[in-house]
Amino acid sequence: MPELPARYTREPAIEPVTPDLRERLDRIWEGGSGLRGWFGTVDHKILGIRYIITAFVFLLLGGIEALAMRVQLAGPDQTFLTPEQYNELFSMHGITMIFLYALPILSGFSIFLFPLLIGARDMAFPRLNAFSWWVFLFSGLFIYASFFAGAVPNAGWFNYPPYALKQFNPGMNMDFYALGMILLGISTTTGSINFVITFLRLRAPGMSFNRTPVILWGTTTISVGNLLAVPAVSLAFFLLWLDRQYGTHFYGVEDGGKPLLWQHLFWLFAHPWVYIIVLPAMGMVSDILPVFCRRPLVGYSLVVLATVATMILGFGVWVHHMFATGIPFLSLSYFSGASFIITIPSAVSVFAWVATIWWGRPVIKTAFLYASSFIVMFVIAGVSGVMTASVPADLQLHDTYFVLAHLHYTIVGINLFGVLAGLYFWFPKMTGRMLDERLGRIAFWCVFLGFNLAFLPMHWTGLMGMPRRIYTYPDAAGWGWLNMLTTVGSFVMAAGILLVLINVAQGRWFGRRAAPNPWDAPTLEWAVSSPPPAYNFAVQPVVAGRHPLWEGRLGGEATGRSSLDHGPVLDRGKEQLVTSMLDGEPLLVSKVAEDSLWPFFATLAMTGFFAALLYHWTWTAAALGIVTLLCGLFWNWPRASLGQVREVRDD
Amino acid sequence: MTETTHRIPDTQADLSFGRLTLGSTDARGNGWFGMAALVTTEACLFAYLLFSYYYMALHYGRDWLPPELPGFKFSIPMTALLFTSSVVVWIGERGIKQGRSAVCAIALAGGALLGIAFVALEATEWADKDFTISTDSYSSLYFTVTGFHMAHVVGGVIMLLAVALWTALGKFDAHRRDPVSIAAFYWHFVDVVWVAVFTTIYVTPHLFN
Amino acid sequence: MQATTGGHGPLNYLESFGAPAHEIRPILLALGWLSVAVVVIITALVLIAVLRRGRRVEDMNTDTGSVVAGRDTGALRWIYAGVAATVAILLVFVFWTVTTMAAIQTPRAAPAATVEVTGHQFWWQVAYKDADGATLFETANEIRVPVGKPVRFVLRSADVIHSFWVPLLGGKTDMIPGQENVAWLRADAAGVYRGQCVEYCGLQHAKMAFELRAVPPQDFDAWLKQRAEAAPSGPAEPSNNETR
Repeated sequence: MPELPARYTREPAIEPVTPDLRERLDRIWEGGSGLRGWFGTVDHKILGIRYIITAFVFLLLGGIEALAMRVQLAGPDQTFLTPEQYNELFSMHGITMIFLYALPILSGFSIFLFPLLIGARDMAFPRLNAFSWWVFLFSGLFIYASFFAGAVPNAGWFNYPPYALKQFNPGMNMDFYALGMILLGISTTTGSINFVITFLRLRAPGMSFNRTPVILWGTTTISVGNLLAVPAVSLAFFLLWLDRQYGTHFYGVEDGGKPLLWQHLFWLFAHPWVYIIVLPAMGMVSDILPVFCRRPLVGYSLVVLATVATMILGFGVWVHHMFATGIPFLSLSYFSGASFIITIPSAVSVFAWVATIWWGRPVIKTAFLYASSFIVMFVIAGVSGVMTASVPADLQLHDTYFVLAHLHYTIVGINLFGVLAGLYFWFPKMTGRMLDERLGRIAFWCVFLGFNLAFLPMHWTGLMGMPRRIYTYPDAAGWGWLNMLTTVGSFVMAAGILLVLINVAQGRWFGRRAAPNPWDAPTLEWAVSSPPPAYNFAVQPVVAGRHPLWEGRLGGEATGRSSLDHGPVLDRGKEQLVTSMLDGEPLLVSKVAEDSLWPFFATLAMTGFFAALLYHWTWTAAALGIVTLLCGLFWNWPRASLGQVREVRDD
Repeated sequence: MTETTHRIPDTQADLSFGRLTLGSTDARGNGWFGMAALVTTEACLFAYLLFSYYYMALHYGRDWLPPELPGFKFSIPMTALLFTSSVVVWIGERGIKQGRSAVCAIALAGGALLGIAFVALEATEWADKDFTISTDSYSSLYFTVTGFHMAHVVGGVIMLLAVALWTALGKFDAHRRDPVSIAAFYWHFVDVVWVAVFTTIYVTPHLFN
Repeated sequence: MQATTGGHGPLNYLESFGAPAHEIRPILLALGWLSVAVVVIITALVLIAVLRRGRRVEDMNTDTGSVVAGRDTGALRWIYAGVAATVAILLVFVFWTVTTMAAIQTPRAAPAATVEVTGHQFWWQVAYKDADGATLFETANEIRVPVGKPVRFVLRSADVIHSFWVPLLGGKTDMIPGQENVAWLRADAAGVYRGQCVEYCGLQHAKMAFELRAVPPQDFDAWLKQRAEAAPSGPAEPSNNETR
C-alpha cells in the first residue's frame, strides 16, 4: 500500500445488502431528468441501448438500399434504377452495413453488458462513452446528409482511387465519405479505449482473466485491434481528402502518386476490421450457447486463445484482397499461406461450439435457434473464405458474386445471427420484459430460410462469372434465375426482420415481466433485477469462478463461493472499485463521472468543424476547432467530486 | 460491523480489503491508462504515415527525393528544443510529486514555450522549401508527415498549458496530480515520435548515396 | 453475342477452354467439393446434436437440475481431432496452391504474340505489338488470338483501375494506371470468348465487355499481316458495335 495520507484512502465497510442501502444508491445514481438528463446522461445501460437502436436504424436503411438493388437485379436488363442510382446504392449499402451497423451494434451490446458482466457500476470513462455514441450518431448523419446534398458516395465502400479522385469524381460525394469516416473513426477509437481500460481495471475481485465471459475477450481483443488498425483508414481517407482538395499527389499517377498506396492503407485496416465485426458476436454465441445447453462452454481457454490468435493473424493477411494487382510471387505465396492458417483458430471455436451442444442438454429457445444455426453459417462463411485464400482460385473468384456470398455469410451469418441471439437473450435484462417465443420462432425461420435462399445460390452465381458492382446484366449470361432466387430470398429475410421488430415493439410495451434470471444463466448480469438498478450492484461482488450463479451445481469446477449479497459498500457518491490487472486484487476506489453536457457539446462543435471543412469555410472550421478544444478543456477540468484535486481535510 | 478484512474461501487466494487508494492518485487512476491507449493508437498513426513514405521511397529510389536533401540546419536545433522540453516537463512532474506547485507550473509552461519554439522553427523550414505540398508525391508526404507531427506538438502544447494553469490554480499536490503525469506522458510520446520522423525524413535519404 | 460454349454460361469458369484456366480448375473444384463436404458434415453434427437431446422447456428456472459440468476430456478430444484434421487439409492446399501458382506464372511455350490492352472508361484499346514492342495497329473492344498458342498481354490503364478477365481462359489481372501488369492466355478451342471488366470503374462499368476471338494460327498470321500493312497511325476509337 502506498504511503498515502488518510484523506486519499478509503476502507470500504463490508456489509450485507439492505433496502436502505439500495435506496441510498438509487438517489446517488439516478441521472438527471428532462432535456438536460437526456443530452447529458452517462449511464452505460442507456447509452448501450441507444447504440443498439441507432445501429438497428442503420441496418434498416442499409436493408432498404439492398432491397432496391435486388429489385433492379431480379432479372436481366431491368431499368428500375439508373446506373448512377445503383452505384450510389451499392456504395451506401456497403458503408452503412459495414461501418454504421456492424461494429456499433456489437458496441451497444458490449457497453450495456461490460460493467454488469464484471461486477462494476459503469465503464472506466462514462463521459467518453457518451461521446462515442454522440459522435457515431453524428458521423452517420453526416454521411447520410450526402443524400440531401445530392452527392451520395458512388465509388463503392472501398473507394479505390483513381476513380475516387477529383478528376474522375468531381462532386462532393467522396468528401462526405472521407470526412464522415474520419469522424466515425474518432467514435470507434474512444469506444475502444473505454473497453480496454474497463476490462483491464474494473473486473470484480477474484475475476481473473480466465473467469471472464467470452464476449469480454471478444470485445476487448477487437478494441485493441481497433487501436492498431483504425489509424490506417483514417489516414487513408485524410490523404484522399488532401488529394481532392489541395492537389497533393498520394494516389493519382501524375507527379509520383500510387493508386496501390490506397489499397495497402485501406486493407491494412479493413482486413482486421472484418474480424473486428465478428469476434464479439462469436463471443456472444460462446456465452449464450452454454446457457441453453445447460453446461459450461467446452474448451473455454482454447476459445479465448483462438479469439486473440484470430485478431493477431488478422493483421497479416491484408494483401489477399489484392491478389490481382500484380504482386510478386513470394508475396502472393506468403499472404495465401497466412490466409489459410487463419482458418485454424476459427476451427477451434467451431468444434468447441458443436461439442458444447453435443455434450449438453439443449433447450430450444429462439436465442438457441440463432446460436446453433450460427455455427452452420459460420462454417459456410469460413469455407468460402478458404476457397478465396488460394491465389489461383481467387484469380477467378475475386470481384465476383462468390465473394459477395462469402462476405454476406460472415456479416449476416456471423454478425447478425449473433446479434439476434443476443437480442433474444438479453432483451429481458435490458427492458425487464420477455419477447414472445412463438413469434420469435416464426421470425427466425423467415430470417434463416430467407437469408439462405438469397445467399446460398449466390455462390453459384459467382462461379458462373457474375462480376460485382454491376447495375445490370445480359440475358445471355444465364444469371437470371439465380438472381431471382436471391431477390425472393432477400424479401423473405426482410419480412423476418420486420417480425423481429414487431416482437421487440410488442415485448417492450406488452411483454411478460422478466425475472432477474429467466434463463437460469450463470454470469453476474443475471444476479441483478431486470432491468438493473442504476447502480447495477448494491455491494461489490466478489467472484470465485467462471459461473458464479451455477456454483454448487457444477461439481468439481469452483471450490470457492462467490459473494454477491455481502461485500464492500461504496456509497459516498458515485463510486466503483478498481482492481489490479493480473490478479484482480482490490486497488482503488474510483469516483465515477456524473451526467455531463460536454460530450454532446464537443460532438456538435467537432461535427460542425468537419462540415466546415467539407464546404471549405476555413475560418468557421478554425473557430469550431477552437470551440471543440475548449469543450475538451472544460470536460477535463479537474473536479473534487471525481477525486482529481488535492484535498485539505480528511474524509 | 466494519471488519477490515473479508475473507472469501477460495482455492486461489483469500481476498482481503484494507485501505484502498481513493480517486485519481499517484497516476494510478484510469486516466493514465486511457492516455496509454491513446498513445498506442497515435503511434500506429505515425507508423502508417511512415509506411506510406517508405512505400514510395523504396519504389522510386533516389530520384523520388529532391535534388537537395533535407538538411540539418533547422532539424538539429528542433531536436534539441524538443529533447530539452521533455527534460523540463520531467522536472515539472517531479516538482509536483514533491508538492512544489510553483516549480511544476513554471516548468510545464516552459516546456510549452519550447514546444512553440519548435513549431516556429518548423514553420520557418517549411517556408524555406522551394516546393509546395502539391508539387509531387515526395513533397506531399514531406509536409504531411512533418505536419502531423507538428499538429501533435500543438496538441501537446495546449495540454501542457491547460495543466500548467490548473497547477498554478493550486489544484494539485504530491499525490493528486494525475493530469500532470498524463500530459507529461503525451509530451514524451510526441518527443519519441519526432525521433522516428527525424530519422525517416532527414537521415534515411542519405542511405541512397 | 455468340458464346463459343453454346448454352454454357459465357463467363462460367467452371469450364475451361484454355490456359491458365486448365491449371486453375482442378484446385478450384477440389476446394469447392471440400467446402461442400465440410459444410455437410458440420451441419449434420449440429442437427444431430440438437435433435437428439433438444428439449422444449417453458420456464428454465424449473430446469435447474439439468446444469452439469460435463465430462470435458471427451469433448476436448473433439477439438483436438477437428483442428488436427483441419491443419492437415489446409497444408495440402497450401502446397497445391503454390505449385499451381508456379505452373500459371508463365506459359509453357513462348508467346506467339504480344497484345497491349489499355483500359478506358468504358472501352478497351487493343494494340498488337511486333517483336521490338512497336505498335503494328490498334483495334477496340475485340482481341484476336491464335488457337493453341499463348499470347502475352501487357495491361495498362488510361484513367482508373480496370481489370482484364476472360473467365473461360484464365484468372483476372488488374489494369492500374502508372504500372504495367503482364498476363498470358491460351485458347485451346476456336470461337468467341467473352471478356469483362471486373474492377468497378464508374458509371458504365457493367457494360465494359469485350470479345476475344480465337482463330486457327494461319488465319491469325494472315490477319495480322493484312492489318499491319493497312494500319493508319494513331490510336483507335471505340467501335460502334460495342459488345455487351
